[in-house]
Amino acid sequence: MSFMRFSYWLRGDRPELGPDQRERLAIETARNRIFITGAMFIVGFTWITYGLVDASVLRQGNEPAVASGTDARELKTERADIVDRNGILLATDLPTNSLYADARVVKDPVESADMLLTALPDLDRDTLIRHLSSRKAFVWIRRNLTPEQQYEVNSLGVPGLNFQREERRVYPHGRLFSHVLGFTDIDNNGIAGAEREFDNELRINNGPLQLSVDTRVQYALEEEVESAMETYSAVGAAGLVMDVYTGEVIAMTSLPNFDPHRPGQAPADARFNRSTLGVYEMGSVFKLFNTAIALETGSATLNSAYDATEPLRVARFSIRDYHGENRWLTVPEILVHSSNIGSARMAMAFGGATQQKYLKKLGMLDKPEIELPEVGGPLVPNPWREINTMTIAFGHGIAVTPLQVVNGISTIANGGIRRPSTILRQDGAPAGERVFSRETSDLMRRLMRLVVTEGSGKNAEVAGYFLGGKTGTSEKLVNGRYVKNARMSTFVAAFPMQDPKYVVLVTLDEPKGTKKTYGFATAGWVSAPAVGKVVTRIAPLLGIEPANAKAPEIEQALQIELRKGERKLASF
Amino acid sequence: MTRAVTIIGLLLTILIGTGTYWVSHEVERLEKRYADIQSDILAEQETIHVLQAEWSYLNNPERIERLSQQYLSLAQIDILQMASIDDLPENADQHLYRLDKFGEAVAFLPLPRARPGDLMSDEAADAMIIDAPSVAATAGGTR
Repeated sequence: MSFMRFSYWLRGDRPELGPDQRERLAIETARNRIFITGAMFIVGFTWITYGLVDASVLRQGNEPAVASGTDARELKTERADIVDRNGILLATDLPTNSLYADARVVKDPVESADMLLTALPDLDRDTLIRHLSSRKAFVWIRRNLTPEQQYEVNSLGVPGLNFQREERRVYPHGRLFSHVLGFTDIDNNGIAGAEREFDNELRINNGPLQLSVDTRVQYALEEEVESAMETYSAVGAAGLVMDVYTGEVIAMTSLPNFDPHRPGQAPADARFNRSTLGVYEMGSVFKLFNTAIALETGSATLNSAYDATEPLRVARFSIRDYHGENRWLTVPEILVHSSNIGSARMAMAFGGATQQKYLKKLGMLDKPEIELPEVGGPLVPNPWREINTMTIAFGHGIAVTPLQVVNGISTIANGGIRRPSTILRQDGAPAGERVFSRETSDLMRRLMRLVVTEGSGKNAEVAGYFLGGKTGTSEKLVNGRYVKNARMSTFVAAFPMQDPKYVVLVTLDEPKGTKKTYGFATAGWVSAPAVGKVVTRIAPLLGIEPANAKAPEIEQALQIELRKGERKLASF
Repeated sequence: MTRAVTIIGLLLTILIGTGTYWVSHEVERLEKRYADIQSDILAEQETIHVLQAEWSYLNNPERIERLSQQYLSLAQIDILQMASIDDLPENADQHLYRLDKFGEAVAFLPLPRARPGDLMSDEAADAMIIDAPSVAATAGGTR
């Protein structure tokens, strides 16, 4: 019977009491229960109210005063922008609209086509009519319309025409940077130039990619190189401007160039980057490297003289001078008269192993380092015979890219420290490797200046900017044979020579002489003036002040004695 | 007493209910506004992006050069036209006037700077020319 008792207890009933008492007891129990329940509800509601007030009215200690945009979306394009060293936009993704037709809705295909042709006159009428009467739900009419075209098509009000939103890579400066930037395919994958090299970084899109190039300098360089190329009917040309202290490429051009929006329409020749992919025998430009090695190793001083009285015969080869002086020449004279014989003799003095060691240090024997997929490895003799040592002294028998030459000249001019070439903007000078001593670099600066004041680079002279450089003309190798009238004419110069800041190179591929150059197509006549013009235009942009030639500090920095080489009696 | 509690409870319930509804509605409204503003911002960003591209396109050096040739009568700065502030004579102010023989101040006109190609004696050229590296060469050549 314990179950019954439990049941009574549970109801608060006490069967042993009388009915009156039981009734009162029941009411009291009920009241108590209502009270307890009510109290529980009050507690619950108070709790909820507190929570509500707390959540909506009160301020939590760790709550920020202003709502942070955790879900603030930023405009993210498919690929990051590319900007130049001053932040000018060079490549970006733009939303474009492509026109398609729902042919099922088109009422009168012929009339619609004629109306559409008023807005897009270059469409083919027959194809258009065929597309519009195809009764298909989706036919592309034209991809990537310009905003004006879209507006015009829209205002025609032809039923059945719709726009599809797409993203397209746009290069606001068109051809200007075609070889630096490269291009992308229709799916926005980078397939050439910086677009390909930095494809992953551009896709991740952590802000714009800043290159070291300067739009203004690039334009000046490209325009002058192009005009030289036209004047001398050259088949191609390359131009480079490099910061000697950081290895940054400030401008790089290769002509002919192409429209990066339509790379497929350009011939392969136009897409060939002559600055970094093309390897050429650079000719006499190498005499600067040769002289620097001789001065650095101590095998020659400025007063050393070499016998250039007659052509040098080695095995079945004979080395001649273009402007024969036919006498003994000192080191400065060898550069001023661009003597092949003298350079070869100079190289013989320090030998092939030293030559290889230094050319290796200068990066002439390896692929140039630059953040571009289009790099050409140099053509280096193997085995390296004595005759190679002699010809390489004046830049024959070794083919390198113009970029390597500019990098090498930067090394000579900047005090002797080599830094890798780069197309990315650098903050300050990166760590480099010393190749030449400061003294050698100082002497080389004077010698380079001498070539412009006294030697073959006279046509490059720009008053006030103190160019110093070297010409180089080489006959082109076609099928392993030198072709007489197909030349590569290169002029490379640093400026201002008392404190070099930039190196400029202009190479013309197969220039032809004009009346003005008396028929000559050598570097001193065709490339040197172009470099001079480039410097005149870019020096003010780069913040280089023209200086007075008579300033004592400049005279002191550039002074050099051009002593005539005399035949030494002892060695006769 | 019971009635008062009931009425108070009822009022509280209504108040809290309305309050809760109002807060939730307000949050919803703000969220919608937030989303609208976000999409406006995105649209503005896109416009800015397109305008930046257009700005870069309009700043194409080739175009600027063409426009400059068309509308401005300016040419490229010649090296001779550049001088630095250090090239000015230190006592330049003194040349603005001088005292004539009656002790009255009269305007002093400084001699104009030599033009390239002007023939003048070397001493005069040295005194006059403000850091003009090629003048000496030009003058020498003309003679």
